[in-house]
Amino acid sequence: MSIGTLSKRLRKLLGDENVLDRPEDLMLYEYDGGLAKGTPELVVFPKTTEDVIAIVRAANEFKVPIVPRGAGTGLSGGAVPNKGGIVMVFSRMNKVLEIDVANRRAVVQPGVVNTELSAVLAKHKLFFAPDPSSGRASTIGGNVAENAGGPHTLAYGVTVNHVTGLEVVLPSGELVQFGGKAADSMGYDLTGFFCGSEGLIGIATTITVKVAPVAESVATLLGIFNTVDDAANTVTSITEQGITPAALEMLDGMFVRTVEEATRAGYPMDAGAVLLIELEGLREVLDEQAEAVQRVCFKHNAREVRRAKDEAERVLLWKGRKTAFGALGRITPSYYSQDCVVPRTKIAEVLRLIDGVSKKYGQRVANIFHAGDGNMHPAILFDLRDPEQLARTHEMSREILTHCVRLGGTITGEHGVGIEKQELMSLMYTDNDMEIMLRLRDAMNPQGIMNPEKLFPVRRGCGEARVSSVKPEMAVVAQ
Amino acid sequence: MTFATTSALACALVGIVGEKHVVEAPAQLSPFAIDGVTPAIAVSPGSVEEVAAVLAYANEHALVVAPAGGFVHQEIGRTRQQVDILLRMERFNAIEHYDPGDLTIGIGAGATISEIQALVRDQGQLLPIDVANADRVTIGGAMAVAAHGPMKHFYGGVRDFCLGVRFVTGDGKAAKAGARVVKNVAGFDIMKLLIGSYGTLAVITSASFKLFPMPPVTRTFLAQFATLQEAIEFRDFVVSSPLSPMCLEIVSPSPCDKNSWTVAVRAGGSERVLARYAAELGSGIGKALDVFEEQKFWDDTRKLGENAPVQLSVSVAPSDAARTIAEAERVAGEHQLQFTAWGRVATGSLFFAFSGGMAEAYIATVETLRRELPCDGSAVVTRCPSALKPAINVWGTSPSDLKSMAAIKRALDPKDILNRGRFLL
Repeated sequence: MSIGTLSKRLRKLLGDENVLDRPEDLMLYEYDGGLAKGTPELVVFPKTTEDVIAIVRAANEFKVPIVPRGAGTGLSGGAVPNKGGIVMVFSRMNKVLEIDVANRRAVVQPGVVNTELSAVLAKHKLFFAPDPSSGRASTIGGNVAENAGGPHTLAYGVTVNHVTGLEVVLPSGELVQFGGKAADSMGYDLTGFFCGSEGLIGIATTITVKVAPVAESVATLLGIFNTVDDAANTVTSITEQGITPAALEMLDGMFVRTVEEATRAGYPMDAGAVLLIELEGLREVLDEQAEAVQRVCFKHNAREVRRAKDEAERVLLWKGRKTAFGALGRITPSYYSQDCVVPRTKIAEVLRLIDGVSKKYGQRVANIFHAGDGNMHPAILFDLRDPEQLARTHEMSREILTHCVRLGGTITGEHGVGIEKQELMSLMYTDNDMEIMLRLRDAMNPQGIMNPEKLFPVRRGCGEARVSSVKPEMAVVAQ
Repeated sequence: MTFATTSALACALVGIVGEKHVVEAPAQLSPFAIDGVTPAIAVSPGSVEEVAAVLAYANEHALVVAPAGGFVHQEIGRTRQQVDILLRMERFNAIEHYDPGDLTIGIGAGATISEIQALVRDQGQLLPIDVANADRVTIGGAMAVAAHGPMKHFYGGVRDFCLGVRFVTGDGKAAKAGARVVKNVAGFDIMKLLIGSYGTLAVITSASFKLFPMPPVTRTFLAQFATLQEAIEFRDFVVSSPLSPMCLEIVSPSPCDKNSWTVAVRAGGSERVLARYAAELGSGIGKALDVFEEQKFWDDTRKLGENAPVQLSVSVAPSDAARTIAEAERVAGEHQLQFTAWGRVATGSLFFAFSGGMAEAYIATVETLRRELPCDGSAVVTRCPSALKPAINVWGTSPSDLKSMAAIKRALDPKDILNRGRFLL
């Protein structure tokens, strides 16, 4: 049975306007936010759960893999069809089905965009906590698949902490309900297990999330430091003081200068590092915590601590952070951003290590990260056109991640493994660890139809062969 | 199990863990009977390798294993027809790592909640698993049953702050998932599967957790109401206020206070913050409890229902809490049972205790209550006389995703040796 036949079948089921199969259309779905690449054979746009079921059944019949895709903003290749097959795009399942104010729940289709949900919730003075930097495009379905984070997950938790129910189409095409609006459900916690499973064990068609009331007040501070060590030690001290800011972000000197030139956010050009600290809660709590944070900053030799006077100043301070990666285009043709997490007491140590690696390989690294979580995004700057630089970038990345794992950390805090880091899983997990995970994948996805050859290492001769034509590129080209 | 097979088993286990850590004398085993089923042998391994070897042996011989911590929640679930090996985890109480500056801890599954809390309290930190019998409940046990106390209101359940886990599968594979850092998405989140799996998927040997700063001062504000409806209205008022208390608990009229429904709001912070709580909560507040009084109130609340023969753990959406409690109270009255309700009223995690009746009354009460539950609600019988278990479906209605659960069970415990017969499957 050919793809042509499958295409005809799906056109009949879904309508011509919901199926793409011309090469020029398919090309648009070769990438996500990373640079791994793979060409789909078909792109389909389900509009209902029934459509999803029909597509999954047809894919089973034709033995064609399915790769679900939200907005394609993921950075690890999760939405890339590295084995061809069907890319299932959720842009037409994008309705907010219900805002249940009494229960503090929102029920949404997977294609709803983060900022769209935020806009609807804002009318009720509520918000959905996960706020990935790609929130203007990224979808809740994608958040669930990758267990997305963001700056404000420090105090509020990542996606899995906010999902209570999922309607899921299993890889067999069977429709099941995991959880619901109630906080706990009967039996194994499949809702929790599904979050972050990167599209390997099913497709969520309806998502029930917790939403929270907007805090009474917010304080945004900018701490300016001469050295990254001082800034890093401040992060540890803030945590030790028992203060959990809503967000605690760090930019090193290179990022500060680049961002300032691009945005004029008011960051001092000669700073060694800045901390962007946001506190939320009761006015009384905020006043006390803002004072305590200032004290801690000055104890660690802060040159200056600014507090945003109004919303305009707050937005300006955040603008620098939110546009940081885009601004990198001013100083480098390409960069490769990591997503490692280390214990918060080890940030200074890891920054020194990164500096050492940078000097050893003669390539610059700019550091920006969710410091409060220890979730670091060092960006290795290089030129993609130079194969030697690319090779060095890979080696540097591996050296940094190996060290982070040795400190008890992880290779990815919020971007996911996908294709990008699948061969790095063995840095963290033993063969036994991965065998157990593979057993679970195969239990849920026995035909291997969902998002094949992702997340786990693909070893030659181990059942799944590497496809050389879709070897992932690890770089991200800046604008 | 015949005498011959038991002694072969004893020999094998002694070979793995040493004679000192194997118990086969019936007199010593009888305290470990679960629903009247006495284990054939008890073994206390001292390392992950020993756990793996015990499970590999049990798997090979298809012997039923019951992992055990503090023996507090062991009787939750259906009656196991046999328990060949009681796998005691009390030797797994070492701290794997504790980094106060990072607010993370990793600890052996056999450590008790009290031990951990005492350790982190010295650093002004908190592991928010504030359960009854904390001196006996182990962290492995708390994970197995997804135990929670009043602090679940603010801090969430164990699933929300468990960062990583080491475990051994039913077929004896030692593995891990997660890490020790506060944010991690590498690999499958097996922690979620093991938490609340009642020891049916794997034996947890250790786990890592996120800790929280202990507020400098806490105070508990009590508001008393003549009716459930008024108590629920007060809950709604608190939930829609700017306050974010550590606990928001409801307690039905009980031996402590026969006439009124109590809503307890526990707040943490500086005196100035606590003053704001008092101001916001206003005239609804009857009492404000400090230090010892506060401690006593929460200790008493955690002990509610401990002598009742039948206890249920109920989970409903918050807006269904009022009618679920009202229905339980009505049904209990109809069957002349004494009824106590308490729990996390804003998250919908409730407990009901029934006493003072005959078997038929309990069975009818549970059945009626379940019939009236909203469709995503659940009501698990967490305590009842063993004799009632065949007549009461302790787990209640089956979820629609039972087939997926069965597939997961087969993947991690292919021969169904872990707590066979206990859970849903």
